[in-house]
Amino acid sequence: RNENQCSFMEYRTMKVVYRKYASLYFILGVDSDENELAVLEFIHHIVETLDQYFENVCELDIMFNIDRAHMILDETIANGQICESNRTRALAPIAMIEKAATK
Amino acid sequence: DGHDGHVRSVSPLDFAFSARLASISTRRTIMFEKSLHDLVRGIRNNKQNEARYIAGCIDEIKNELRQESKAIKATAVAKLIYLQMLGYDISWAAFNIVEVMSSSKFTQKRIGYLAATQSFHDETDVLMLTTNMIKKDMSSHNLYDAGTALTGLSCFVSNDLARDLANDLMSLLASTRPYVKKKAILVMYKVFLKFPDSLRPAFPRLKDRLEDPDPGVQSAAVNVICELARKNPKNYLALAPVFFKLMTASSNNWMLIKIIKLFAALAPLEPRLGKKLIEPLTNLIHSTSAMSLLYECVNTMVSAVPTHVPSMQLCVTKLRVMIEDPDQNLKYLGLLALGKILKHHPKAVQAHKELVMGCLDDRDESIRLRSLDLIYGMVNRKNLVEIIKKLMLHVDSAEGSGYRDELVSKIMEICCQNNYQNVVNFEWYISILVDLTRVEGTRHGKQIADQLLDVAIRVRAVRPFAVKQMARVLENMHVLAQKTHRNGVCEVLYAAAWICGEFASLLDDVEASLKAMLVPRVLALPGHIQSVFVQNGIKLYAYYLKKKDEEEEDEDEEEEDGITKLLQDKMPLFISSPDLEVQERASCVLQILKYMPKMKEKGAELAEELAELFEGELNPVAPKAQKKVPLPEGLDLDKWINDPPSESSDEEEFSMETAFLAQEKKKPRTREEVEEEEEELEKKREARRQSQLSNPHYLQSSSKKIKSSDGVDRIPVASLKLDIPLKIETDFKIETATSSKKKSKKKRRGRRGKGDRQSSDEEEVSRGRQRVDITTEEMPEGAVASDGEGEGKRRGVPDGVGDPHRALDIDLEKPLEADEVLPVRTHRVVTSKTVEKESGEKKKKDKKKKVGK
Repeated sequence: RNENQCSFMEYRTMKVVYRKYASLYFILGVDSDENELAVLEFIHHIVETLDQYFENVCELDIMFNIDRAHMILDETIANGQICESNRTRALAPIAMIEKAATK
Repeated sequence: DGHDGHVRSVSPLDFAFSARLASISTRRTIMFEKSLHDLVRGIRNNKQNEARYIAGCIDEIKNELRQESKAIKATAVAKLIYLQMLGYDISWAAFNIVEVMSSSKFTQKRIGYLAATQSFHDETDVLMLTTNMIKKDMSSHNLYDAGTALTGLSCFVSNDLARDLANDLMSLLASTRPYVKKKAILVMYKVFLKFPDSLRPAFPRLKDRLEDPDPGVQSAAVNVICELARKNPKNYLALAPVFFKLMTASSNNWMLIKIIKLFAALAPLEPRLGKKLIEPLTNLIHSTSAMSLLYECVNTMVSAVPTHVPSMQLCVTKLRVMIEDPDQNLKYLGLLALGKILKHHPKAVQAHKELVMGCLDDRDESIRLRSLDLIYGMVNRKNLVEIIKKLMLHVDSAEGSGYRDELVSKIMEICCQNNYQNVVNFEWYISILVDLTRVEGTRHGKQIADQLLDVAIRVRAVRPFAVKQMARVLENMHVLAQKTHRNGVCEVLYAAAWICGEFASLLDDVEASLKAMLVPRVLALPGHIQSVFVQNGIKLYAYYLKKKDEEEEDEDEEEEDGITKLLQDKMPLFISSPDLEVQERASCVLQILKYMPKMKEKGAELAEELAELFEGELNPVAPKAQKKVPLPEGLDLDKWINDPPSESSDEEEFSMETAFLAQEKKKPRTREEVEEEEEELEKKREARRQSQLSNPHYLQSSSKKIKSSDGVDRIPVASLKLDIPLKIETDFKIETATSSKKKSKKKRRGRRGKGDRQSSDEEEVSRGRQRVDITTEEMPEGAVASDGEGEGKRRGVPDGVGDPHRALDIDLEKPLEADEVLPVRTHRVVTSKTVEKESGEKKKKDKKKKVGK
């Protein structure tokens, strides 16, 4: 797909929404009822969170710290619903863990 | 790593470091242990032999998992998580994962839970072991332990887990820490899905959370309720006012979107709600800067108040803005929403026709598809031709066969909607269809064929033209016959052959078409097409003979013989075809052909009779016509028509005979003859019945009248009571005289009876009328066409999701009854009394005993 195409696709019963950031694709599968624009905003939100944590996140960051990335994701959404929309609050537990780990 | 203390205690654990330390100090047998970083680096370095490298790593991991140190295990599990992401299955490590989950160090626990969320599913056996552990974690004082447990739980909760933990979760809903409350609420949704009985007891608490001061908790509760309500909206109507208040008061966009979506689901059920929504939604639409919110509002308005014209106009204007936006996403969504409005307000959308046509040229395929959908609703007679012309251009230039295919089928749909209402010039349409056949690799060959047949049959005026075109298609068969896959373009040959055969009188050159049909290449076509070729071959031959007769030229005897011989030569090829239908027809034809020269020698003229085989027009029959056949008076379909079963076998043989009478002398099923057969059948039945009545060896079974209706009382009712089940030799049914079987027998008889009736009714149907220009599908006289009979089931929800949601369709208004309590697991206290009882009883499920406490 190229830039001139929109970011949603239908796949069987689901919709796939993706967004490209430099070399990285964030792909999300959602229900067909879901509001796609909201999903796009959500992707952006996650990316900004990751950015805040890793400082200028790049692909390698995520790969090497896959567990941290998961943790961040877990703090932000739970069971498919948005749990924490405030980035700083979402990152708080992670910071705690880091502190406990490195002490 | 000696300290196994709480999370907050000082423990020098970056698991990578600890692993190395551990390996050096205590485990000298493990020489080189990898941390997660190392693993990742290693994989990246070994891109060529990745599989081998990873296999090696997995072995190491297995080794590590056997170690005692929790830290090492944690590392190993972390690596497994990574591997699982790459696609390797790690279910063999389930037990080890549980071990790591049970560690008291938070980092390790976290890794364990993460692995569990990634890899556990309903079937994992070790889930049973985790129940207590999760319970402890959830209620732990440590905020993050609880959080981890809850988040992890939501991913792998199974039915058993849900049942056992529901009570604890509910108590967490009242916890003092909003962090925990939030997560608990969100897990509850999953629990509800897995264990629907928990919904009713838990719901009041959930409702309370809607008014929780903490916005996070509030939005979590809103989320859950919205999700629940979307699937079963009618249960949640009572909450509408609460949500209304929230909507007007809140500024959290995520939550607003959810609430608005919820209203979209509720509004159809409650008309007043729709009206109330108009104002706040309009305000929101005007005030918000977030496109997503705007889109959601528009969507809701469309589904909630489709009839309210000003709001629709507002929506349309906004959508227009969206479509004009250069951003592809907005365009796409704008078109999508416009499509929804189309159903209610086609005029409003018509105004933007130009815009939509412009979108047809867009570079994005999905946008083009959406605009196609819109166009489907916007065609009328005048613009059909130009639109289709444009689409055909697209077909030619479209890359990617998926889109092209879609175009092809859409073109046909557009043209044929509403019974071809918009097609003014059918000849043009036929040429379009023929052009479509030239499109390569289309999967809609069958559809094209159907359309050709449809048009040719129904529109008499265009038949000559159609026949000419089809003859051409036949001649160009070698092009089409190359693609022999199912449903490919070769299906068109089916239509071509049939049209030529049926309307042979309109063909220019009968012999040429006949010869074209007999080309050896035909044998490569799929079976059903071949059989049509054979059948129509004989039709053409019959017509040809008749024509020759009429022209009365005697010198053409040679030519006639030539053609006969040609046919005779070619038929054996068909007879040896693997397809049964082809064989059958070919052998019929061959037999007939054999008679021809013999008859000729005797001087009889058979052309006339042969042509009579194909006399009469075949008219299209409406798909529901059969059901609509009115029952003639005095007929009760559930009655026994004849005496039961051995009858049926005789009947079967009889009807089979009549069918194969055609082998020798193909008896055409013209109307008169069918009726003759029916009469004969009747006579035979009577005769049989008489003989049976007098036959002492023949046993009659009783028949209870299901409906006592007027009239038909042909069946002697003689009730027999037999203790022993009887066996009467039949081909089809083994009869028992016990009453339980009677009913099922009756049903089968009833259906059989109907079958007979129906064959005679079909003839009535074909006698139906046809109109001048377009013949409508035939229905029994006086019947009204009905749409969508028996298509009640909504096809929106796939079954996997549908089932748990359907289970949640619970009435929440009723107050809780005494037994609707979440099951609590407690220890069973064993006393001597219970022990005695136990030994006598069967084991019951725990749940049943505990509920009600």
